[in-house]
Amino acid sequence: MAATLAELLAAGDPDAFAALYDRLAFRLLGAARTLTGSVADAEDVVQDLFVELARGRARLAAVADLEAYVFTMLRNAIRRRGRRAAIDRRAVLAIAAAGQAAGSFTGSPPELPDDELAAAVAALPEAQREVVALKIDASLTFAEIAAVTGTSLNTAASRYRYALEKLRTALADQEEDR
Amino acid sequence: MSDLDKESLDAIERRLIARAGLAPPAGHRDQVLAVVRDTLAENRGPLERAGAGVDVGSRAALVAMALSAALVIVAPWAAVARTAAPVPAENRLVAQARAAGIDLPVAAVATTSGQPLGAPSPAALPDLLELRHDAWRLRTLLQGEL
Repeated sequence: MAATLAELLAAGDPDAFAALYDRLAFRLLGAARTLTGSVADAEDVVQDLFVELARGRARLAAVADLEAYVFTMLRNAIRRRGRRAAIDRRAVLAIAAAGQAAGSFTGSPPELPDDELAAAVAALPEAQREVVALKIDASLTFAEIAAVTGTSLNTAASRYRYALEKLRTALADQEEDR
Repeated sequence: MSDLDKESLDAIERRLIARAGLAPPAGHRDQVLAVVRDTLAENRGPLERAGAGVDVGSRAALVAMALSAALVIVAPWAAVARTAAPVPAENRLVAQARAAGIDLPVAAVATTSGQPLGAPSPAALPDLLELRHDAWRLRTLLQGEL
């Protein structure tokens, strides 16, 4: 019987990692961009993810749903990164404040979302933004999203619906502001 | 939910789907797979297994004990050897990085230059990708050390 992709990954076959990249990169990058709000961060997160997969490859042999497993790793990596970024942001703001006081700060502006919809998605609560990223960018089913986020299927579906409603309101507000 | 409600939510969903996913940028695939190959090459030993008998804390304690023991045994001999033949000042990590082909001074300059972020010119892209790859390999090496 031919080995599964998970078994080949667990064996450390570089071609298996290439196959996994070809299969998931578009969706992983899309979900990561939605969750981080930055294309550059998304690229870094996905690269980190593959390194983590290569390091802990022995665990992959026992994984039943490889896609759900990989997207769970992506979600966890982005959450960890978010916590680190919050700490960094406080430090940067302190430095920026000191620089502005001295009149010498010339920082670059933050990376802004590329359109109204992206801005509205970025403004969603984290749990809702996750469901949108996993449903839309990652093309996961609600059952898979529930497994990735550690919630029930109903919770995942409800969060998605709330997210759509919030997006509708946010986009309508933007229309009115014009 | 009214038909109007459903229709407007469907419209939002269609807009989301239209911008879903993100095509990998040029060079990203090669870069990721190069880092994976490096990681696989560096981890050819016994694989880390879920539920291994020694947890991370215990492993760190064992490593610390081994290092202490090594210092006690090796330090006196090293002191004698140092008086006989001077040891180059370059530390082991730097030597390892150089042996792995990582250009440390360039990587250090690239990560600490403080240049404002902006779109690189297409001509500079191969160099930037190479620098980024170096930085990744260095980070992997450092993580293996800690």
